[in-house]
Amino acid sequence: MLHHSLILRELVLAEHPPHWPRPFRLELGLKECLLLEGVALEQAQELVQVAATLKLPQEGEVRLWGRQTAALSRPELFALRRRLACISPRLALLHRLTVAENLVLGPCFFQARTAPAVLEEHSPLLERLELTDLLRAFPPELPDNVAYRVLFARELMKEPELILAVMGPPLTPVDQQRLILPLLQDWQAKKGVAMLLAGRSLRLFTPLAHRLLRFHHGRFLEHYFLEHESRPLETFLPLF
Amino acid sequence: MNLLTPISNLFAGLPGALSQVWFALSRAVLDYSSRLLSICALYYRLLVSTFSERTGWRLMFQEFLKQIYFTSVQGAHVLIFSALMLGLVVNLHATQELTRVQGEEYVGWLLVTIIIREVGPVWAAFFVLLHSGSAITVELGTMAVTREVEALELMGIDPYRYLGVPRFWGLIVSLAVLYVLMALAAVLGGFLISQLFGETFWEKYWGSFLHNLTSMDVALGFSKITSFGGIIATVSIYFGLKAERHLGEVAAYTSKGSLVGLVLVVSLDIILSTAYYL
Repeated sequence: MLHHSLILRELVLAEHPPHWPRPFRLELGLKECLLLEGVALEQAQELVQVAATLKLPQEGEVRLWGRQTAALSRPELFALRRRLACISPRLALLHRLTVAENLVLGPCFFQARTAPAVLEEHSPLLERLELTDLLRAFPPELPDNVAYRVLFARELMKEPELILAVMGPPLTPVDQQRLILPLLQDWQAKKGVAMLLAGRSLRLFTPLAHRLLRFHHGRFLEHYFLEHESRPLETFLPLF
Repeated sequence: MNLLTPISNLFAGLPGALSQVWFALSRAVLDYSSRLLSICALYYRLLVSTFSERTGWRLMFQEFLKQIYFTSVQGAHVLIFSALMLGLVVNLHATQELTRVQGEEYVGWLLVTIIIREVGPVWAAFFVLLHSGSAITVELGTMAVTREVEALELMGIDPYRYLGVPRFWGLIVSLAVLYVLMALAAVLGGFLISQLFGETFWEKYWGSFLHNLTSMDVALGFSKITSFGGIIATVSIYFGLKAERHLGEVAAYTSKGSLVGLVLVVSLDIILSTAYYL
């Protein structure tokens, strides 16, 4: 259990998809990247929110780093959420704050740092997501795909140990290929975070994946990726 | 099983209409009690979470200042104007009636009783309830519906601490400031109207007011004001964060919050005034 970032056990969602296995089980290793493919956007969003403890499942349990989330107190849950990134189209930015204020809110709140210092530290990330020129804009002024990139930046600035993300609209395929995939590849290589990516089609993200669960005819078919040219085999050997 | 179950069992054997009335009544009582307990729990949570963590003080202080600016500065002129009117009306009636019974020297006592102890705190509280309480409910309700509160939770920020605590203390401090301004404006308004009915000297008028003003009056006024501020803020935050699904809920909860706030302020006023005279 301690070797897992996330365990969803005997899970039944509030809006459980009729064709899904009931109950549903999922385990995600500490540095594993798992793709959950063939999942409709609504279902992916709900699953990710349940895994991030933002929603309660109808049945079953969610364990994050071995801790059963239902048994945690409110402050413990907040502390746990600071260790994970959850990126889903259902989640929002704070509309009355600018993009910059949205991005620095967490670090400023918990580390008592100034906004310019936080932005300076994360400027490479903001440049990679092409957000540098949009820092003074308010979220409602942004197109959906840009707002989603801001959400990505905000969550990655938490330096998470686990990334839960819904891939697909509003991100355009170009955004995914040009901005998100290289970023996640780097993130995986440098920080070795666990990732659960869910969406209708995740072919683009197979270079990241250790495992793929493809939903097909009422079942999840499991595929393992032992090696990939962008993720050589030695990453499986934690020698350092 | 609840507290009313034994009585409900007794009523279960009664004819249809009577038992239905009882069940509807008992459900309403339980709903109101549950809501009142939740509001009390939130009041406690806001007090405790102010000092429970050391993080976020700077951002919370900014929110606190914004709340004070919105409530005290942006709304002060309306309250001061209405307080002048209140002072005018009180003194208009007082000078007419007290002159008839040769009791002009009681004007100061009347001002203290009405402005400082009884009507003043409630007047200021109603103003803040209308001006800021409903605004807080709408703001937080909209944030809850548009998932901004959830965004805070995802960042690991407790919304009650980041959104609730600054508004709670902001409203209490603002109400205290507005109360002082309102009292001064009302006394001034009274002085202006008394000029219409004869020459009144400011020193004598002000002296009469100060002579009748005791520390107990001030303590009662401020204890009312701080309690009202806390209650208005708590009720507004409670109903604001209750909205979940659509913006229509925000309107409904704003209206409900204002009414509950009104009832609680009046109830507490009666309790504190009664305690003063006991």
